[in-house]
Amino acid sequence: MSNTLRPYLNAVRSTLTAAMCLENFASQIVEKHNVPEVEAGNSQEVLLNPLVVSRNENEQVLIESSINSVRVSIRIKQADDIERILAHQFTRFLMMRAESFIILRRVPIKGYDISFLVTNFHTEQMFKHKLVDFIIEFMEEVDKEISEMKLSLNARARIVAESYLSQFV
Amino acid sequence: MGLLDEHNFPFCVTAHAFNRDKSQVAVCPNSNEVHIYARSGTQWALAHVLGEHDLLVTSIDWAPQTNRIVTCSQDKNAYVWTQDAGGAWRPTLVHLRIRRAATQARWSPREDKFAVGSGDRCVAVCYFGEDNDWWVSKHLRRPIASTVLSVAWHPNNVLLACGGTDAKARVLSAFIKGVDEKPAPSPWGERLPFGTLCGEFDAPAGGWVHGVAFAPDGNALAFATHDASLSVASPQTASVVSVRTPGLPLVALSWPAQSTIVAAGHDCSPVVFARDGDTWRVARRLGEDDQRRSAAASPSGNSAFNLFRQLDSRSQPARASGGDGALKSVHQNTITAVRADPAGGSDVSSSGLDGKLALWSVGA
Repeated sequence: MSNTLRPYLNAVRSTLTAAMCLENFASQIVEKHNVPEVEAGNSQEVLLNPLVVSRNENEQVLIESSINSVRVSIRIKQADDIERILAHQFTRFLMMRAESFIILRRVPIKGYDISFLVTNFHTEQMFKHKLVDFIIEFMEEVDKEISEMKLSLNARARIVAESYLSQFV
Repeated sequence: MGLLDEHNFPFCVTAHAFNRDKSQVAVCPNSNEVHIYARSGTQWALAHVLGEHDLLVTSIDWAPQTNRIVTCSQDKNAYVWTQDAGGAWRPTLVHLRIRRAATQARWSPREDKFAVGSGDRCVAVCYFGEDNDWWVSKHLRRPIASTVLSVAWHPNNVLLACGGTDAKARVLSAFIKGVDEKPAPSPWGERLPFGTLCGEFDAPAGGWVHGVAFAPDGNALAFATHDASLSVASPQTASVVSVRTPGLPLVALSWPAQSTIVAAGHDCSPVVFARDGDTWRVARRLGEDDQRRSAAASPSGNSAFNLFRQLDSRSQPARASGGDGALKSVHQNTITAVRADPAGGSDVSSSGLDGKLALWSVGA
């Protein structure tokens, strides 16, 4: 299992390190404004080509970069309905508290489950390699969390069913 | 070759400029102010605060001979500061006429003009207009198509190189009638009225041009692009020689001696390029073989042992940083500016987003 995970995460890590070369860039469209160009999308020449790193068709990472911001969108593996609900609740919980996460986006990009927006102001305040480490760790952890939640959900359901049905035996 | 001096400021240094004898340095602490620090022993003490701009100050240049400072900012303004008899710095208005942010300002070699690159897709060349007692500008517009990220002057005071987000490095003529005399013929061209395009170059894989610099004799132009390569264009052979570096893009460069280029960027350590006949190659990276730094990264001294132990027990691949997250290089974050020695020597200074200001000796 871990054999395919390592190359996938290494590919995401090197792509993110290259994509996170950001600098302060004032808007060319509106004077005295400074916007993340990947969100504004007005000037085509300051946007880089978006890149998708995929492990399989269910797990993908979309990295869109520009001169002053990077948007990383992750599609989490959701094998069945329970996992779909759990992933949705989990990401919703995180995204509602996006302010404490600083780099989290409140709304994911269409087709993906969660999105991060890193701007040049974030790379000025925080180490770039630590930001990349954080995103990679997040990708590893979210799978573990959802499996854990599913296991405990199933265990609780079994206990509840047993204790309820035991009165009919 | 190596680190001469370093100083940590408690803020990101957006831009820096030394005066002629390097006894004072003007820095922008990632805000709308410019701080001037004067050397006191081994430390820098705050001497003046220049606060005329409204938004981030993007560039500072200190003219070594005339002792004037030009600053430009994202609020579409530039000011020329002169020191009065009492030692205080007074701003002079510059009629820049740009409609977007200014990105870089540089004095010409003779310090009678300066060029300001802007997001308005032009370079404003400014000279002093005696009749109104302010600096007036002429714009270089065609064929620049997007934000100009960096400008550099040719030693003859007339030619100007600019590079920006339209992925081209250009050499244009900034000849101002009344300020300049006719320049000597050069490999870049003979008759050079204002605005003549003398050369247009791009990098092998494309990419925004982050920094440009002329050779000390002016016969070649080096530019650093976002595809992590350094290209050198020479008009005599009409060729562009590129060196692809294996790391992250280079953002700032300086050409201190005829066969040495120093460039730095997102890899957080300056790279020295040496001439190899007709081509250039990466000679060395500065600051990464510092003994105390590599010892600090692995306190037990057995970094290879620790590496494999970590790989085995925690299946964690090799990390570029030490245990506390610090990088092996001197700078801990992107280097945003590399400046040449204002006195003309071969030392370079670098400043970055980690707040460090470092002086390097490069040799020649």
